[in-house]
Amino acid sequence: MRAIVPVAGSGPNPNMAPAQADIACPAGTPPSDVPTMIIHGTADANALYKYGQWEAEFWRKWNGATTTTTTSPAPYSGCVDYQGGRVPVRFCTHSGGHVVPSWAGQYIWSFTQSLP
Amino acid sequence: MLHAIHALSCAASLSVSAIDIPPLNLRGVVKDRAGAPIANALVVWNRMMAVSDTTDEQGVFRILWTPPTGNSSPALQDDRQTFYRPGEGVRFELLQPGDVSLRIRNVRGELVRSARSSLAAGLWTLPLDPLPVGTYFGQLDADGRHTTFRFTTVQAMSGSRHPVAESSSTANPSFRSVAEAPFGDLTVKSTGYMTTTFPLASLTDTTMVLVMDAIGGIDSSTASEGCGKTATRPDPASKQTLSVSGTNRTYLLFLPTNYSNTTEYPVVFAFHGGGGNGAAARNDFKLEAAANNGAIMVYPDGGWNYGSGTDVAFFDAILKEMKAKYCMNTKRVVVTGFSLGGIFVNGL
Repeated sequence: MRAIVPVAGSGPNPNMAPAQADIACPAGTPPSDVPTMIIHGTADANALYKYGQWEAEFWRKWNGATTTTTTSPAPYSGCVDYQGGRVPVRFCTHSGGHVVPSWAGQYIWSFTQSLP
Repeated sequence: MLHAIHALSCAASLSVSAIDIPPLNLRGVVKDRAGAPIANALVVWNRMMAVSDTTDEQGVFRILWTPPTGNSSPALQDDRQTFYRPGEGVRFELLQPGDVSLRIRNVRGELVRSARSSLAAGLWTLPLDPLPVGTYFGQLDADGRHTTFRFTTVQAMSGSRHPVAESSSTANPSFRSVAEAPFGDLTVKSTGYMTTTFPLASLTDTTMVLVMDAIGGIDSSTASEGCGKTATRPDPASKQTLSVSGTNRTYLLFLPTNYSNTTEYPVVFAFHGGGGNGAAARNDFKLEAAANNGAIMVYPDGGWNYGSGTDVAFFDAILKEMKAKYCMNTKRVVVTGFSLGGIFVNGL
């Protein structure tokens, strides 16, 4: 898998809180890094925004990034990049609800193209 | 006396001469343009499709073959000695004048070629129009007796190493004339490389170096099996069906409108949300407009039950299908999904 982009989802375990994120990667198993971009609306009433935050936290840890973020470069408006990871982890938020934002396809494609 | 009767009783039957199939002793290495060995390349002698070898980790192949013995006696029942020569037909020797009939069937048992002739004694070749690539079973009858044989036709690339020529000959299989290559050819196939045919200068060459070109100059380590294969572009709005563990599953498939089988495309999977379908995902994500024919898009119809393996098996099956049929970069698979589909992405 070259990259994953969950939109308004949650998980990997739907009930997983950030504190539990470590358990998904069994001890002694080297994680297989996967560039990740998460897209989530702050007004999402179906998959709550906090689920998106949990996802971001999970993949940040998975890919070895720190909690420090920087604003993503253009064209990724509304996105931040977690720093220090082995591969990119980007978290894009928008003010909408439970939708695929109109710009999602463009972001996904740009993200795909940006990877080596 | 007994011996004489035996010879007489077989005199009117068919026999295939083995005189023009001498022993073969070939050894060599298959390399790419940079000189790196190519492992797991299939090397096939065109004159006898069963005579082949696969290169080892050092790119080395070895072909040792001795023709079947017993050609001095009539060989009507000896399947090994009846053979098909690409570009010519079925070759046999008739020891006495008689009616000969030939029938060629495909693997489904359907009759694809037949010929019937009254022939004088001698060495004959019954001509056959070129057959599509595949395996065939032949039966040759004469004097109430018959011999059966089996053969496989392959695409002959005729030394063509140019990508354009390669794709055109893929669409239209052709066969070399034996006269062009008196010792036959070695055809070499390897994923990510142009299938290449090398005429043999000798049947006992143990220092061969066969150089292959990567398809479209692309990286063989990432190209799928579908690179170089002719593909039909499906209607992106019509459901494709795939049987997964006995269940028919469906998905929409978008191939670039200018799809080329020498371009390693990324493949993007977009999973719909709960209650949706592939068409909804195609509409929601607008990936095709964004990618501008730069990728293959797949929109499966799924349930995305978290923890259920069935949708994962479905994903694996589609990916396998994409790799086999289309030219893709096997290391550029991207998955995205909305809502439940997004949860599925995280699970994958």
